[in-house]
Amino acid sequence: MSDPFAIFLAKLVANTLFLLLTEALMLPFFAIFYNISLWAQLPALSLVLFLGSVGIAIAGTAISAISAQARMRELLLPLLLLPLLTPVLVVSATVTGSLLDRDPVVQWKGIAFLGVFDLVFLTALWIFGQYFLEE
Amino acid sequence: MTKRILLGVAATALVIVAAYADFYVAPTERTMGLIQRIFYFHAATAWAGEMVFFVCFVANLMYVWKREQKYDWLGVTCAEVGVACITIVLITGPIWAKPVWGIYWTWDARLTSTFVLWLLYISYLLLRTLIEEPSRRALLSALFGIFAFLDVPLVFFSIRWWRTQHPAPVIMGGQGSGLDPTMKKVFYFNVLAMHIFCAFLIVERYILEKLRHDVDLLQREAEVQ
Repeated sequence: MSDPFAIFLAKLVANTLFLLLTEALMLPFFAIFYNISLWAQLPALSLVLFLGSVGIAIAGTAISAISAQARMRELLLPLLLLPLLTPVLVVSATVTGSLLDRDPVVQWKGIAFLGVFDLVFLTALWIFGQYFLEE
Repeated sequence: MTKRILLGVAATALVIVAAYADFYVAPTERTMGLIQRIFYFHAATAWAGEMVFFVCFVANLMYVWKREQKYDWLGVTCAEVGVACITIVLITGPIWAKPVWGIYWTWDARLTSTFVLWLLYISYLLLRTLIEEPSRRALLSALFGIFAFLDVPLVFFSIRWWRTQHPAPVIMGGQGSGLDPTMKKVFYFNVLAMHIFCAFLIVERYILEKLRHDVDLLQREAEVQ
């Protein structure tokens, strides 16, 4: 069998790209309807979106490998995933909020936290990935 | 059997003595008054619950590594006992918070991370009911347990950085924090009592899980014959 981590990595990249594509489509509408000028904050915002999406994709890929093998998988996935994603969602929302403030601040601590989250779960996936796909 | 009964009696007696100490031995706190007495039970149960979840995490790791059923039994046992403890923490907390803070609940770092911890282990127990095959259930729930446990410190730090309201730790906290010596003794006695009580629950629940497994095996054998 091929390296299971490679399978996970491929799924992970695909999921991240899907998330980023959706975000790229949503962002202009968001800016128009909330009347926010995004251009100045775009580099930092892209970084937050990227790290946040990677985090969601890592946890999502791992947990979907679990829920796919259970009954009621469509219902189970969000139930398992949402509590696990609390840190990414809270930090991404906070950092984005302060970026879009009247006096924008780049909260590097939050961005670093997103990086740490991604790293922790990517490492866990790398170590335990092979067991998810065991027959 | 005698050992189990002895442990049960000792654990129950310790909890009763601890409850007596909470009400009659510990001095009344100056600003909060009587309501502060719930702290001994609340924080001791939280410590015990977190300890139990740590045992669950170790059992999950051991299952993935060794693939022995006893670790799966220990995992589900600890998850259930831990959820019971954290449920108590989430009930006693708001009882204290309403008169002291004026609100039952706030999305503070410790409250939120305890709540998410509780949700994660409820999902763990839910996941177990949705996978039929025993070895697959054991492996996948152990993996989820590992991911869940890794998530808890991340939840804590993410929200601590966001906002915090829970009283700063009085035990092992910074300078200027700390408890009256009698309060400290009562608190540690409560911690001991809750740990032993949890150990008793774990032993009983573990034996139950083992018996269930034996019944399952016997039923299958009977079906084959």
